[in-house]
Amino acid sequence: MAGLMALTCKLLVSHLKPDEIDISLSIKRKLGPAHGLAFGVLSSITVFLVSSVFFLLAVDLFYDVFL
Amino acid sequence: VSLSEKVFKLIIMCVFALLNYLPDLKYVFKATPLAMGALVVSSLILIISIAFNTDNITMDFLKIKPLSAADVLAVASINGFAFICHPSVSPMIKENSDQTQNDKAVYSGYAVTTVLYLIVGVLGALSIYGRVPTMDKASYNIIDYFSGQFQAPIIGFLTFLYLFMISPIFPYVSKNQAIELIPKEKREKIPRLWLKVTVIFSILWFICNILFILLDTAPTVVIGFISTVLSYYVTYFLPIFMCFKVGDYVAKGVPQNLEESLIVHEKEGDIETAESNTLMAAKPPLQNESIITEYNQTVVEEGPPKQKWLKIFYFSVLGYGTVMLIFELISFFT
Repeated sequence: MAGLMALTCKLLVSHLKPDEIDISLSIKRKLGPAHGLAFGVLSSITVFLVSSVFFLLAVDLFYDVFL
Repeated sequence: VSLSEKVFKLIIMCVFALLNYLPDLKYVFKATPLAMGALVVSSLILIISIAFNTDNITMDFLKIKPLSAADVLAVASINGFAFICHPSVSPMIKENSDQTQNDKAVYSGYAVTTVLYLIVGVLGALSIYGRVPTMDKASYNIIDYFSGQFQAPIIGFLTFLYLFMISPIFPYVSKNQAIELIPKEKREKIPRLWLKVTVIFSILWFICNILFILLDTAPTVVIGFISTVLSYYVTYFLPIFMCFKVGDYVAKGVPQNLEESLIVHEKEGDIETAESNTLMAAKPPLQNESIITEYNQTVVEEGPPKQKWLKIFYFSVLGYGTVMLIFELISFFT
């Protein structure tokens, strides 16, 4: 599973141009604005939730260790 | 969960919220080796803990346990979620000093992560096997299994350190992706756009975390569903669909000047044609003009032999991803 994900991640990354700072730009360029928008929205929400999960886990550990 | 714990978490949340305002990730990248070191050391302590758990480890550990549909979904979602951020944060490889090593950076990132997951998953399970966590809250973490023992504060502190140092990456990426959704011409007209997006992000982040803390719950259900759908779209569908659409199954990356010279822009957009990309991927090492013409015709019509096998392989990968998606959605809704 990790191998397949690494392969497909590499496929996405290899389409990046030097001036593109995010995958959503190369997706928009290659597949059109609809896919660029879909990826941007979904990815942004997911990374936002990951940020929340990291905080909740960190603060849980912090409380258990120090208090 | 006591009121004092909730208040404490809300106060710490303000400290974490300041990380949302980091203008770039240069300090985060400097701290990354330290963060990874903390993670590796905490994993090693987890492994050492197996020696203190030998009384609980029996042959029963090796028996396959029956799992409910909910358990299978949880495991599948966690596995998917564990890797889901890689494509989202992978453009950070542009920070590499040597851009020719980007492929290696992607593969080694997955390899290190997978090895750590395997170590923590298998050996970590041995270290806590037979132990009962202190279950006085809705969700518990690894150190609840080592309550009162020497491992708990060390693993807890090191893992906290890792999470704290890595955490600014996610707001940074999420904000940038949100900004990219705004059309360029509108983006340039909005003053202090970065600050405004950061403030909006922070407000949403506060609301989300306050709800999870006050309701004393973990966002696993929401994240499980989103990661199931997103992991299929980002991990399987998009990269493979992109290969089929542009006709580049090798995707080795093309030198900038060659790519620029071969790109054929369509009238209404900036979508590259399949023909140009197939030619780019093939890169024929031929000199004679007639042979080149013949070769190009073959490439455009049929593609080189290697690409045919890759096409079949990617179809199989997409099929595997689709089956996984259907299975996970059925599990989720039943």
